[in-house]
Amino acid sequence: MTHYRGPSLSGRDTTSRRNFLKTAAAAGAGGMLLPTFSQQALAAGEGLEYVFLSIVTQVPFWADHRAGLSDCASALGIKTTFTGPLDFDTAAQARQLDEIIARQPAGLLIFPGDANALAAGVERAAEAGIPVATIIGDIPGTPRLTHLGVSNFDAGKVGGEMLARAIGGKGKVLIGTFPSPATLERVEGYKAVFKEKYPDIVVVDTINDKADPSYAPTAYAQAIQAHPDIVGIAGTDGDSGKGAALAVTEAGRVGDIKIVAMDRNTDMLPYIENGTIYGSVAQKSYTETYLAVSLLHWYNTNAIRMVKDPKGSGINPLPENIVTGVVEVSKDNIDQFKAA
Amino acid sequence: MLLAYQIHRPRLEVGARLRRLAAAREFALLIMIAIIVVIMTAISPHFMSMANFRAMGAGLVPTGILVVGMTYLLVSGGFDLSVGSVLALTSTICAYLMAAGWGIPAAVLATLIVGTLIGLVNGGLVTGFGINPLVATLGTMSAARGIALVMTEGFSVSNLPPGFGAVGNVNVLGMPGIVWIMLALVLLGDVGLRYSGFFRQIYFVGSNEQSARLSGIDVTKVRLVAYGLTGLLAAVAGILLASRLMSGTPTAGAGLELQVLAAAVIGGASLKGGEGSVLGAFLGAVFVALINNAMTMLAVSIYWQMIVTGGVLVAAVAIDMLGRRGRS
Repeated sequence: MTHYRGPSLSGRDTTSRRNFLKTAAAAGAGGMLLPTFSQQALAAGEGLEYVFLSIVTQVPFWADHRAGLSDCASALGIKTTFTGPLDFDTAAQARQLDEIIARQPAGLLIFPGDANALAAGVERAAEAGIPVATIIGDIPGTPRLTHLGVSNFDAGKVGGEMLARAIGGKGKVLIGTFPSPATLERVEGYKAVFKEKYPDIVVVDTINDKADPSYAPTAYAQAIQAHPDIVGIAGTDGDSGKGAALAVTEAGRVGDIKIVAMDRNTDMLPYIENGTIYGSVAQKSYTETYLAVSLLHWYNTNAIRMVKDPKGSGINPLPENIVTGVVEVSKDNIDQFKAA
Repeated sequence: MLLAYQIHRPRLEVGARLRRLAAAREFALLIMIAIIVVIMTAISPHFMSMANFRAMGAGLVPTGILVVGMTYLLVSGGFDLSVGSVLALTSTICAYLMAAGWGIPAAVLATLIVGTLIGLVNGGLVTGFGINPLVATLGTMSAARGIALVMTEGFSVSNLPPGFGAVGNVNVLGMPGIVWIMLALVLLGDVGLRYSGFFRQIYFVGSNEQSARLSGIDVTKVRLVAYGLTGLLAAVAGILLASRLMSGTPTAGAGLELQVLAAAVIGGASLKGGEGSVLGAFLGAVFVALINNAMTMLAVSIYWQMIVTGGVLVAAVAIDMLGRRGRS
């Protein structure tokens, strides 16, 4: 019965299991050789890489940030990468943060979809010696070196002032948003300014435009039908402006209903030019990333010599909080924002 | 009327044949995983690091756990599109309860019950009302996500008791606790489906419901158990995710159900039922996670990543279909 190679008599497939084990052993032995491969790769050298981990990366809002990233890369002779989940998947962003940390970039910029989900990851980045900057949204209580952005609440207030100017300080208005912490804070900003300074402005409804350019026009059209006596629409995300503009145009109410938008997506600019949209409140996105990467790079190269050895001593020479501010985009300065 | 155990003896042949096919698929996956690992180590100096494996491992946990339940379901001839939404809802509920002052064990238990109930609702819709699983679970998918959003208005739930994060963030032998829990569940799930008398009935129900019923198997009960188990595992995944992220996320897991289905199919499960193994499905999940990790390590443009993921899935299923045609 020795050397029996026929079909398994026990009813179980032992030959394929034996093959499996043989191959597994061979693979294991081969695995010992792996370190030599990676040493070669390491020796080939890599330039300094700064990674911007964002979220909802599929929207065109990030165009300016990416321009800032690549211009800064050329200016400093480094490499920058823009990445992040295509939609609002906070769990995927947390996972990608850890994977990027394993890649040991020279620095990390993060726009947090959910600050709580990323807090532990930022701690891990700091432990791995990677400097972190937060953009637009902050991750408080973690060792990030600097935060650049503007308070969404304040951005809402600027929008509120703009809309108040447009409608003459009184009337019924609608606010359009989508449920993310950042945009909801802008809604609060609008409401705060109306309450404080313009009591004759009444917010009749806050609607969800889902930050979806194909759905937004429908959302605003329905809202205009439901509240035909509104005189203003306040948008809080990049797709509100065009969505509201399309809806107002279709309803034949251009000029009656004033629109204030946010951000400065390229497809919204023609509506500002022709007056359908009164104006937009845009962040200084380009500046945010350009400045953030520069600061991290100067930190890495110990260029900001506030003390003898900032990087080695762990003394942070960078400002904790930088308010990059907003800019009002209107017919008067629209030329500056159009693509070359 | 033949009783189930009386047909076990001739069925053993079929069982052994199916198991051999599954073993071939698992083996092929292991080879493909090994190939990717070797290539990635050669071209990316940071791939072969504990930090990266930890990141991959922790990221794999939701899919790895969901795939266990999905395999049981697929083998039984059903499937569940609501697992991603149930993951989000259960992570939100668990966090919500703890933030409201409930003790961790109480919150966890309540969450597990909710998950199982949702699974049973799915099962009830399919077996009781005869609704197509696609339609039934599509409905629960929207409803579950909706409930999570109503509860939180899109914000994540934080202020969780600090001890809760231990299982998600403290490393045991280099990996966070959640990874070990996932591996244990995969092992249990695989052994259960292979060797437990009760669970093996799932294969019969999935390959031929009529004969299964005629041979005395309580098809409704088997189906309900499979759906309930899937819901329970989705709740486990939700709780572990909340521990890792230290917050309840109502927006988590969008599209996860398709990834879980893809992993199970890559691992050898058939959408028609009657075939599949938990080990294969888990290896399928590892394979997909490796591809995603490779793309992150190589800084592949995010816009191209979806093309790659879609291409890999189509290729895997196409190879599966060709293999099937060759066999029959």
